Amino acid sequence: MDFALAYFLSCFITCMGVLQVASVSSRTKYLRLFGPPLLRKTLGIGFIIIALPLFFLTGDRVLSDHEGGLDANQQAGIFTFAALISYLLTAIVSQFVWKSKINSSVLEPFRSRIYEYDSGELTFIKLQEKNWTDFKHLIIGRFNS
Amino acid sequence: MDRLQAFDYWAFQLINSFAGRFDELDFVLATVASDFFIPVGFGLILLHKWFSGTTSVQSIGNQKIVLLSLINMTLATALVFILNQWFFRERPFSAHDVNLIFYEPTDSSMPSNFAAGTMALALPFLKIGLKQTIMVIVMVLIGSVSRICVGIHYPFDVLSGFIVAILAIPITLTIGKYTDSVQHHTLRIARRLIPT
Repeated sequence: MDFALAYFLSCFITCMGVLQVASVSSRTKYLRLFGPPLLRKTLGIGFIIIALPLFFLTGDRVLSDHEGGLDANQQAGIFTFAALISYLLTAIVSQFVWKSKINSSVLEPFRSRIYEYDSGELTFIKLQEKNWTDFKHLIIGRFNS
Repeated sequence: MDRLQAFDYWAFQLINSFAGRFDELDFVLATVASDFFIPVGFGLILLHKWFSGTTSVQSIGNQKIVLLSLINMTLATALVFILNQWFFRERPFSAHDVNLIFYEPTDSSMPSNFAAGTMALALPFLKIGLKQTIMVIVMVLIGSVSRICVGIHYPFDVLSGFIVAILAIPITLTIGKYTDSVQHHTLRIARRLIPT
């Protein structure tokens, strides 16, 4: 398997695991993929443990960037991309599996003139739709004023 | 100076003598010393920190720590880069006969980029609590000592890397202080997209 792809996959799986561990907190309930908190925590740690051998035991990983490895910038970029994809996938899958809503107290700091929402009604996708609408209104408002 | 260098080499030989004895131990040492194990571990800790927090205040505090860690790491590695422009120290394997179980890096041995970067990521955790700081600093120490074990750094390289990370802290805190409103707005936008 290609070095960068193996690195991406292992980062993606570990990030999924970390998000499941983090979803134990009541503020990130919309990230849960499984029911009981203990199961989420156990499976999250399991994901992390599985991803390590997946990367380190499937080829020579002690390589410099001149020999087919990755330099620091590539590593950081791939890790960030993997974290973002794992976050989006977790949030979207969780929304469809559990119909999970974003806790209204989490959104409290965003109450503003341009941002109105019905608490308890907002899913992850609805929030992003709302963000996009607000962004458009904000930009149009700037041009009109 | 010669005595310091002699002590550095003696300590290096002592730590490096663990390498090349057992294949299993070599594999573990090379894995821990690799550019992926500890850095990815830190990435995961920061990711967890971003999403953890039971109250809004705690959540914002954690996210500010993540930002500070990243700023501090950027500063520390930038300082290493600047130092390397006028100071170059050969790697141990270039100057001596060592047990090398790692690839041969070509950049300066001193200060250790790895030690400076990871320690710089760990130090802002002091703002949260001693228990978590000790945990991440132990991670940094394990990673840094393993890089001496595999034969690519002298102990003083690692030590100077730690000093660079510590020197970056006052600059980071100053930047943090003067960019508080920027951080606030950045976090506000981030939380709108990624609610926590």
